[in-house]
Amino acid sequence: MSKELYQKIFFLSPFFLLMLLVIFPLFYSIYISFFKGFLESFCGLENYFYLFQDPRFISTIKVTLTFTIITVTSQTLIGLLLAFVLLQPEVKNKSFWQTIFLLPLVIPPIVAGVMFKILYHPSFGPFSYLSMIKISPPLWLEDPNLAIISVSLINNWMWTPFTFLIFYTGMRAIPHEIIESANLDGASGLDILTKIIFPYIKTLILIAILFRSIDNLIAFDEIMGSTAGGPAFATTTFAIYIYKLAFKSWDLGYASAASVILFIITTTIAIILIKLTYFRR
Amino acid sequence: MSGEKERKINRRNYLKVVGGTVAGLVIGGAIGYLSRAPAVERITETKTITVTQTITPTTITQTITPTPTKPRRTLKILGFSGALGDPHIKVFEKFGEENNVEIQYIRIGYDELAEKAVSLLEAGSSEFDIIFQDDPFFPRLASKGWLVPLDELGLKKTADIPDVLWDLGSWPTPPYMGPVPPADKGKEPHIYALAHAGGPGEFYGVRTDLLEEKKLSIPKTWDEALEIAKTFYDPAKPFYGWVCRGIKGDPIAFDSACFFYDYGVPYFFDENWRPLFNSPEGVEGFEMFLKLAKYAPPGLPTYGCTEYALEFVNGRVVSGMINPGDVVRDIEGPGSASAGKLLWMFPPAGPKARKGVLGLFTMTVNKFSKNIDLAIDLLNYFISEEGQTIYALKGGGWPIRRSLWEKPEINKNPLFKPLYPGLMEYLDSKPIPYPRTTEWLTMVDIYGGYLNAALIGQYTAKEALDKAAEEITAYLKRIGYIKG
Repeated sequence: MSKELYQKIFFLSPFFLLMLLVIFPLFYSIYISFFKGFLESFCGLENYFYLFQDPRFISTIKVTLTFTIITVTSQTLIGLLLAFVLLQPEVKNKSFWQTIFLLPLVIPPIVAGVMFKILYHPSFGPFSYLSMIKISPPLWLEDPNLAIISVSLINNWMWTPFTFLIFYTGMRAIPHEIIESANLDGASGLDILTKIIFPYIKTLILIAILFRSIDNLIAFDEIMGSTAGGPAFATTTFAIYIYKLAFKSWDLGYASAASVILFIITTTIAIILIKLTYFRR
Repeated sequence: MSGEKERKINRRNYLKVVGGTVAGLVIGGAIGYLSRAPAVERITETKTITVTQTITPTTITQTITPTPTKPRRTLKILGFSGALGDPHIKVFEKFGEENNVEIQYIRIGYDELAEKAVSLLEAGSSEFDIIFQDDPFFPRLASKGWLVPLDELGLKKTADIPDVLWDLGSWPTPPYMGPVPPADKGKEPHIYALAHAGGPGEFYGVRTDLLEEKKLSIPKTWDEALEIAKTFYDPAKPFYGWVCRGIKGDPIAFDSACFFYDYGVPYFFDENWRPLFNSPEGVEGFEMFLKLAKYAPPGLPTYGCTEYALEFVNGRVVSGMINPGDVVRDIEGPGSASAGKLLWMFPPAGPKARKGVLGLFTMTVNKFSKNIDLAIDLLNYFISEEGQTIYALKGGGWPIRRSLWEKPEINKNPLFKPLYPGLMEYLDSKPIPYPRTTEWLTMVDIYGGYLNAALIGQYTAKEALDKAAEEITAYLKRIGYIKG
C-alpha cells in the first residue's frame, strides 16, 4: 500500500468513526421519530403533532429551562467569587482549598442525588433535628416550589467546582503586574474584578456558561437519584421525560421525536453561546 | 531518507502488531467459544448472585454430585436483586441438584428488569429462559407473543394455589379483573406468568399493643381507621398516625388503590377504557386517602418502602398501608419496635365495598428459549409442595400453597406468623389488580404523578384525578385504545 493511501485511511478513519458514532445515531433517531412505537408503523409527523399538544412535554420545557437558568447563573457567579477569593494573596494553603473545592467533581451524579435525598429528608436527614427545637424541617424535595431549588443545589454542589477551576486558571494567567499596579493606583476589589479580571476572562466565562448550559439542559442522574422527577412533575426535566417515554412506555418513536426537539433546543442555545464566545471579538 | 524508511518500518510494524493482536483475539475467542466443553462434563453448579443493580453477576461456584443418568443442561434465569429474589435460591439449587441442571440466576434491580425484558425479547433473544416480571408488566410481553403459555406446555395448575394468583398471571385476564385492551379482546386466555412472590397487595397494619393501651378496637371501616390515626398523631414526639408510600408513580397509585374500590369505583377504566377513577366515588375515596395522609410524617410524598418500613421499625407510627412482600422481614425482624405487635389485616371497608388491591411478582418463560421444557419443569417444581416448603423454610418467603399456611413448621416462623390469617382473607376476597393493559407503565406515571400532586397540595383530589383522566384519555386516544 502506498504512503498516500495510508494517509488517506488515517485521515478518513476519524471521519467515518464520527459518522458511525455521532451522525448515524442522530439520523436514526430522527428516522425512528416518524414511526409509532419501535418502528411499528409509519406515522409521519404525528409524533411531533401530539408532542406539542402534550401538557407534560410543555411542562418539561419550562422545568428544564428554569433548572438551567438557576444552575448556570449561580454556578457562574459562585465560581467567579470563589476563584477571586482564592486569588487573593491573603488566602493561605491555596492547594488545600483547591482540593476541597474540587472534591464534588469526583462524586458520580447519581450518588450525589441519593446522598442529598437522605440529607434533605425531613424525617431521617439532619434537618429532622429541627423538630427537637419545635421548628418544622423544610420540605426540600416534597414542596414543588422548593424541589426545583433543591435539585439545583445538588447540581451546583457538583458543578460549581468546574466553573471555579476554569475561572481560577484564567485569573492566574492574568499578568500579576497589572493587578499590582491597579492596587497601587487605589483600585477597589470590585474595580479589579469588573475592569481587569472580567475583560481578561470574558471568553472563559462564556465557555463555562456554554458547557454548563449544554450539560444542564440534559441533566438526568442527580435528579433521578433524588426526586425521580417529582414531587408530582415539578422536577421532570426533558431527559427524565424522554427516558420514561423510551424505557418505561417503550414509545421509542415518541421519545425520539422529543429527543429531536431537545437536540434542536440544545443546539440553538449552543450556537448562540458559541457565537457570543468566538465571533463577537 | 533513512529516517523516512525507519518511520515506514515502524508504521508497518505497528500495523502488524495491532492487526496481529486483533486477529489473535478474534481467532482465540472463536476457538474458545467453539471448544467450550459440553455441560455434561462439568460437575459444578453455578449460582449467580448479584446484589447491585447491574447485569454483571458475581459467580459463586460450588461442587455437587451430578445425577449420572441425565445430561447436564443449563437454565438461565433473570430475576430480582435483593430480598425479593433471595428466597428462590434454595429452591433453584435443589432443582439443579436433582435434575443435573446448572442454574444461572442473574439478578438485577426492579427498575431495570422490565426494561431488560422488553429489550431482550424485542430482539428475539434466547439469553434467558425464565424472566421475572412484576405483574403489571407481563401483559405487554404476553400481548406481543414473547411468552409461552405455561398451562398449554405443562404447568400443573393446582387448586391449592388461590385462583386469583392463576388469574393474575393469565392473559387476557378474566373479566372480573377489569377491561382488556382492544387488541387482545377475544384472544384465548392462557397462563403466561406464575404469580408467586412479593405482595399479594396492600394490607392495613395497626399496632394492637397501642390500641389496647387506649382501649380502642381494630377498625372495621376507613372512618374508624382515620380516628385511630388522629388519636395517636403527635408530631412533637414525633409519633404519627398513618404511613404509606407517597412517591409519585406506582407507589402512591398502588397504596391508594383500595380506597377507590372501597368507595365504589369497580375498576379504574370502563369496558371502553374511559377512566372511572375520577368519578364522584373515586374522588371521595381518594379524599379519604388524603385525610389519612394528614397524620403521616412530613416526608410522605417521597416515602417508598424503605421509609415507611423504617417508621414501623423505629416505632414511630401506629398504622398504615403495608405490603408483606416488601417489608415483612424488616417490620417483623429482630430489632424492630413493631415486631410481634402489628396486626397485618385485610384493609378496612369503605361505604361501598371491602376490596384489596392485588399485585405480585411473577415468573415467565421466554418463547425464544431453547429450554422451554426444562423451564416448565422448574416452575412445576417451584410450586410443588416440596418446592414451596423449601421456599418458605430455607428461603424465607411466604408460600403460595394454601395448605402450607396451616403447617406449624411454616407458620410458626415469627416473620410470617402474623401474616397468614390476613393472607387467607385477603386472597379469598378476590382482590382487584392494577388495570390489565400493555400500557400501564405510561399510565401509572401520569396517574401516580397527579396523585402525588394532590398529596403535596398542588391540586385538590378532584382536580388531580380529572387532570390525570384527561391526560390518560389523550394518551389512550393517541395509541388507539379509545376511538374518536
